[in-house]
Formats: sequence, C-alpha cells, structure tokens
Amino acid sequence: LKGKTLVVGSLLTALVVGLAVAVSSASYAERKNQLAINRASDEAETLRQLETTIFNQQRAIRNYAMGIYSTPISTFELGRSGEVIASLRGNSSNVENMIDELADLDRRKNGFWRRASDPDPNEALILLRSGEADHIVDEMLTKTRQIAHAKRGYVLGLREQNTALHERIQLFFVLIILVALGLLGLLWTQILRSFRLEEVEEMFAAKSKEVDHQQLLIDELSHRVKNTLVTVQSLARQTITAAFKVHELTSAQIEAIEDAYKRFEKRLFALSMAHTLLTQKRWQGVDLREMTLATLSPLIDITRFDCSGPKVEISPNFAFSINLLFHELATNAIKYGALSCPEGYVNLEWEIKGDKLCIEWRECDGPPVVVPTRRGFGSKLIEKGAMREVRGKAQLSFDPDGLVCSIELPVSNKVKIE
Amino acid sequence: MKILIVEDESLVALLIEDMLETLGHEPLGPVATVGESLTLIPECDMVILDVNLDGENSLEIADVLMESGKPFAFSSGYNSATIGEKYINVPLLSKPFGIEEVEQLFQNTLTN
Repeated sequence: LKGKTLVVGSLLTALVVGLAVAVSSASYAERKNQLAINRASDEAETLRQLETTIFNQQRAIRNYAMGIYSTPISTFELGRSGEVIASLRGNSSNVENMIDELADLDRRKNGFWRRASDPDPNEALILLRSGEADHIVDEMLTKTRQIAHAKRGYVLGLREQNTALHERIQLFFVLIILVALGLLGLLWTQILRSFRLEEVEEMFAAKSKEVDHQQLLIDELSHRVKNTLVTVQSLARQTITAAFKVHELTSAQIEAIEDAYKRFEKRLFALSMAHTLLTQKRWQGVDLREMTLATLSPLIDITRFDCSGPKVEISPNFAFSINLLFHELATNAIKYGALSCPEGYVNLEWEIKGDKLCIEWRECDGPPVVVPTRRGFGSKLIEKGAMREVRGKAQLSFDPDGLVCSIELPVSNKVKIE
Repeated sequence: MKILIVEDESLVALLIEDMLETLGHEPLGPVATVGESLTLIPECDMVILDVNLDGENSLEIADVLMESGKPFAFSSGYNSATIGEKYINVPLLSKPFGIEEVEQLFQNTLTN
C-alpha cells in the first residue's frame, strides 16, 4: 500500500513537471511571437511613414513636372526610407524581392533627381514631362503599399498564432488543475485507505493476540486440570496401597478392591478424555458423534458398534454427561452385556423428536439378558447421575434380546442442531 | 531397568514409582530439578520426564537425552503439540495415565 501511494505520488509529480514544461515552452513560443509582432508593428509604422514620404515625393515630382518649382525631396527623407528598406529584410522572400525592387526604384529615382538638378534644367524638365519620373514614383508607392500589405498579413498571422497559443496555454492550465485535483483526490483516498487498513490490521492483531492469550489460558488450565486428575488418581492408589499394608485381606478381597480401583481409574480417564476433547473445541460445544466415538473407541472395537443420527452439536455439560453415561454402558456391555461375547454388538441411534433429542443404546446378539437383582453404582450413574445436570432422562430396560438404554434430552440452549 | 523419575509433584511421583515397581522395574529418584536430573542420568536406563518442573522447563534435560540417545518419555498434562515441534517423536504419557500405558511404553522402547 505504501508502494501504491509512492507510485501515485511520483506519477503526480511527473505529470505536474511534464505539464509545467509544456506550459513554459508554450509561453516561450508565445513570448517569441509577441516580440516578432512588436517588431513587425514597428516596421509597419515605418512603412506607413515611408508611404507618406513617397506620396509627398510623388506630389513634388508632379508639381515639378507641371512646371512649378518646389523644394526637392530632402536627402534626409530618402536616407531614412533606405534604412526602413534595410530593416524590412528577412521576413519573407516575397517581401524581400519587393524591397529589392523598391530599392532599385529609389536608385533610379535618385539618378533621375540628379539629372533633374543638372545645370540645364530644360533637359530635366523634358524628362519629367515624359512622365518617367512620375511612373517611377507611382511604382514605388505601389511597391510600398504591397510591402505594407504583406507585413500586415504577416503580423496578422503571428497574432492569430499567438491567440491560438494563448488558448492552448489556458487549456493546459485547466488540464493541469483538473489532473492535479484528480490525482490529489486519488492520493488522499489512498492515504485514508491506508490509515483505515492500518486500523483494521491493528484490530486484527489485537484480536489474534487476545485469541492467542485465550488459547494459552485454556492450555494452562487444561494442564492444571490434568495434574489435579493425576493427583486424585495417585491419592486413590496410595489410599488402597496403605489399606493393603494395614489390613490382612484375602486374595479375593484384594482382587475386588483392585477391580474397583481399575473401574475408578477408567472413569477418571474417560472424564479426562472428555476434558481434552472439549479443550480442543475451546469449550464451545462438540459434535455428538465425535464425543461418542472418543468415549467408546478406547473401550470397544470400532467394528462392534454402529452409530447413526443427524449432526448435533452438544454443550460441554451435556458432553460430560454423555461421556460418563456411554462409558458406564460400554463397561457394562463388555462385562455382562452384548460385548461379552464375540457376536454381540451395540446399535446406537439418535434423532430429534419435537423439542427432544432421543438417543437409543441397544445391545444386540449378546447373551440373554437377566434383570439384575441389585443395582450397582454403574446403573445409578446411568439412570440418576449422568442426565440430571442437563435435565434429561435415561431409562434402562432389560429387554431379553439385549439391554436398551433410552435417553431423552430437551432441545434447549444446551444443544445445537444443524 | 533403572528408570529415573523427573517429577516435581510428590504424589504423582509416588504413583509412577508404584507403577514401575508393579511392572518389575527399579525407580530412580524422584528428582525435581534440572541439575539433579543431569547428575543421575548416567546411572539410569530410561527417563520419565515431566515437562514442567515447578516453573522450570525440563526441555533442557530432553535435549541432553536426545543428544546422548538415552530413551525417555514425557509425562505431561500438555499435549505433544504444546511441548514443541522438535519433540514430536518423543513418546508421551498423557496425564492421567494408567499402568497399561506405562507397560506399553516400555514394550515400545525395548522393541525400538
């Protein structure tokens, strides 16, 4: 983005510099033209004076020719007209030719004048009367007028050129202003955008830092929970070991206690596993199928249970309940139920019925089911413990074909169905 | 086998000792500092290493063990990703763990 701004900036600078160069060259041309116009105007003025002079000469010659003596044209006037002719050179070849012709006429006129001032005025008078001088002066006047006309045309051309140049310069200025304004606008939006982008980037950085921090806290908390669980495990183990040392127990008793300890340990591990899974999900809820598989796969071969149902996301509380419940059911199935023989399997299905999520655990192809005379801690956990917290119900039925556990859970804010 | 237990929580250390004895191994330690661990490493055949020793990071010990090629396993409440990319191949006893997992660990170590 900074590069973009830089590019736009340098583009702007290059454009402004380019347009400034164009304008300055155009105004240089205009100034040059103006100088030419001024010079040509001066020349035109001189030409007008020349015209007057020649006209006067013409009059004088005519007067002379008519036999009236008058003052000869002063050499000063002739000299000046010579200067004018010299200054007119270099404009155009046409004008130059005309000037050459005018100079020639002047020379002829001067020669004539010299003859006219001869001691024998009669000869001069004859010459004058022949109309030659008159003709020469006429022609001079015509030439002078032609030159003046050419000059005027030249000046007019220059003036037109200058007007066009002036218009072009004005157009250039308008263009420069428009382009500069446009580019400034672009630059400004770029700057604004970069500021906004920086703001957004900062916001994202802060958010991701927050998320990282949150993850760190979750990891740390999880670590502490695991440490606490292992401490509890150790306390139970030490308590039992100490009891073994104090009391004299039969091997059957020891075995029963070890068995109970194992069951406790397994429950603890299941709880820990649920904790791990929920930590992975940042305690936002977990997919029911995922939780089921995570709970059952450490205990049961995956080929020995089928689970089917829609995608349901369950709350952390419900996840813990379902984890505990399935753990107990699986342990029971392995020990007494369908999974205690090689053919048996478990069918697990769930569906949404109105405002309830119904889960059914059905054991199939196992040994005949015997209704237990005494309910153990396992069935207590299943029927009373696990579901109470989430206001659900779990019902065990000792179907002769296989144990069935029906679970009902209100679909409230505790679960999310997709 | 002589197995060094590096663990700062005494109850957890007791549990591991108990498991090792049950499995017929000789527990060494437990020790709770990097210094003590480093002095005892030459005397043992294998190490069970807690990642966090009361705030002290035990990865220094892990580095020494990896260099010397002595078998060891982490015991931790952290998952292996949190411990570090470098130690991804080190076996992990994920707390809480049972005696079966410790037994499995020894079997794997011996076969390797």
